[in-house]
Amino acid sequence: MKVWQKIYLVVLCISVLFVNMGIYAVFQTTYQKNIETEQVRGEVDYTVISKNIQKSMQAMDEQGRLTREAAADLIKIYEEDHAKQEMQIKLWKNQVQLYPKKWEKIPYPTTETQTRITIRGKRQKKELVVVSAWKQDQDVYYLYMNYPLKELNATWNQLHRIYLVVSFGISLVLAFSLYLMLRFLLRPLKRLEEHVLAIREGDYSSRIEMRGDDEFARLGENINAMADTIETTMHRLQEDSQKKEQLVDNLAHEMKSPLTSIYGFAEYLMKGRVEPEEAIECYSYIMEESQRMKDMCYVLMDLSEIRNKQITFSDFSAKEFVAGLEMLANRRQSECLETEKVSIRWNNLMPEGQKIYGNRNLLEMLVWNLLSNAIRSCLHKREETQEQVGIVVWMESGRETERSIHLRVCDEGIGIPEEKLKHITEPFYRVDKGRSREQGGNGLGLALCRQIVDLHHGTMTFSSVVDQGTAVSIQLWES
Amino acid sequence: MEQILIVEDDKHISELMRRNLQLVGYPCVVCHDGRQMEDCLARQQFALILLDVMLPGLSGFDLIDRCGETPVIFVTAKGELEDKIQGLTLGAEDYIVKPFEMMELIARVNVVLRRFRKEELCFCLGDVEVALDQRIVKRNGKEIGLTPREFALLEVLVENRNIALSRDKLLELAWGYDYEGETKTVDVHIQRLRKKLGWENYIRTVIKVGYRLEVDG
Repeated sequence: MKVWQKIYLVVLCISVLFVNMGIYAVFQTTYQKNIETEQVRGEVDYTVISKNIQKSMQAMDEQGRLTREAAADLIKIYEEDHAKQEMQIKLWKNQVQLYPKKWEKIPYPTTETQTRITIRGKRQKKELVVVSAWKQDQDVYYLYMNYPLKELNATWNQLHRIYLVVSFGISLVLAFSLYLMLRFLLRPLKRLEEHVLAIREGDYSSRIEMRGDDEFARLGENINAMADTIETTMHRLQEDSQKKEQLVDNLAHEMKSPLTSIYGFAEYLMKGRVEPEEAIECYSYIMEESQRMKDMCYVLMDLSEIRNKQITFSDFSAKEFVAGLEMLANRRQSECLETEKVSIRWNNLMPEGQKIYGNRNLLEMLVWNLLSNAIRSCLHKREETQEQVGIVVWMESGRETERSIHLRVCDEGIGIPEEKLKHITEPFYRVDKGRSREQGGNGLGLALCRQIVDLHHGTMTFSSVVDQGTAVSIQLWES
Repeated sequence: MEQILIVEDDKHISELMRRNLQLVGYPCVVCHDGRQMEDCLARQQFALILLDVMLPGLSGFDLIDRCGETPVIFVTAKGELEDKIQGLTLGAEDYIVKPFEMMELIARVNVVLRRFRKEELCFCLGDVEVALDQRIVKRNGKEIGLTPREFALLEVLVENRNIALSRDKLLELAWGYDYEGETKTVDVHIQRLRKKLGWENYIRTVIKVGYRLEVDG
């Protein structure tokens, strides 16, 4: 059963009951008033008749004419006088009925002094009954009169009919208007239901417009807010899963090359006619490729570790940080061939004693990754143009917050075409697919950088001109 | 014999391809990008070019125009249908997707080379001379009668010389996929070939692998 049907039935029953009770009470009061009026009138009538009969009887007694027949005649005269009213009169003398000539008990015995006037009988057969008694000589006379209250009964019948019609009419009007009212009031419920159904079906963009300030309007607002949340969450989840899918796709693709080599050389060693020296070469290829996959694995683990692990931040000296990096770069450079050396200039513009807040290992990884990219780019430029190119690293305090740090790595390398700039932080994205792999890149460096920067509430922007160089600008602790 | 040019930026994979092809008797030249490829093409004629699609600078799809009359096989990690269709419509003879097996590479190269070969192919080993196209085998100038199955087996061995072939692989290549015989059949046929051609020392049993026709140079 629907809510509106329940409310409808309950409200209708109660209101019909009360309305009917009300009407009934009004009618009952009216009727009661009529009865009272009748009673008063009856009293007046009786007093006259009763007094007259008494007087006549006393007169007849004094004259010595009071016999049974005379009394009966007297009563008969009165009865005939009031024939219109269908009045009946009965008379007893000391328990003996004088008129009519029957043998009845006195219906309502009473004392001499008391006169009882009552209205008796069923609703439509009300009659006025008067009983009185008086003493005359040694005898006690009882007089009983009754006549039907025709007008009253007619009124009752009329009232009854009116009552039925009015009650039925009012109930009908009530039922109809209640139905309309409920349907009108509960209309928003239907709209809400449709809307929620749409959301259930997966249409998260469905929004409902509710007017007013009632519970339905508020419910509608809340449902809208809920849909908003669901929509954004779904959107984010979709994006996330898309990114993950992309990552897995790329990873699978990325693994193809080393796997081809490893499988190929193993097959070659097993099936081919291979001399021992050649076999050693092949084994070394297999090992190199395995190493490449292992490195890739480690970077991927770094990425997931940064994502999932609680990273701790601390204060450390900016000067030491730069010095450490400089040393690392120098050591790496000293291992390189003369042709693979690139000049790196360090510009630490931070005030003496200034601290950096963050995770030192991660920030080192960040700068080192950027530096490696810059070195690769510079080497390539030199290979192409034989020009002398270098790298400059800037570091200074930012203005946004107390902890803000502004870091820039600029190189004079080959640059990156503009349309590729926006993709370079995607995992496994490579500006030049062939070249990067040849130089030992795994396509994950900048994805790692982006995560580190995000962890430090920062932004990373790239600007680049092809053949002129690339500048990476990083702001840490922006907010 | 004309050489095969391998254009592949991954040093290990290009090395793998070179070694495999040299094993079955195709001398190879390796280069790593489009510029080197053009230098090589300017210097000499090649029987076939194995061209990687994802190369630094210009891609393989861009470079195919510069290959002239030389047949090209694309070698790539992109295995999607659209890539294959693009490669083949650009005029490539075939399309090999990484990771590939040695036998696949050799088989595909063989097919293309046979289609473009001008002179007749003749394989000599010891005192035996095999004319693969005419299906004639001569020992000391005298023709030797081989059953079709024996010849098929010989052909497989010659084409995959210096590579050990398992009995199952030999069954598949010489007898066909639907042959449901035992691997013992292979042993019997190998014995017969060894005897008829006097190749007891050339067709070697490789333990736990199968058989290999060993040829020097």
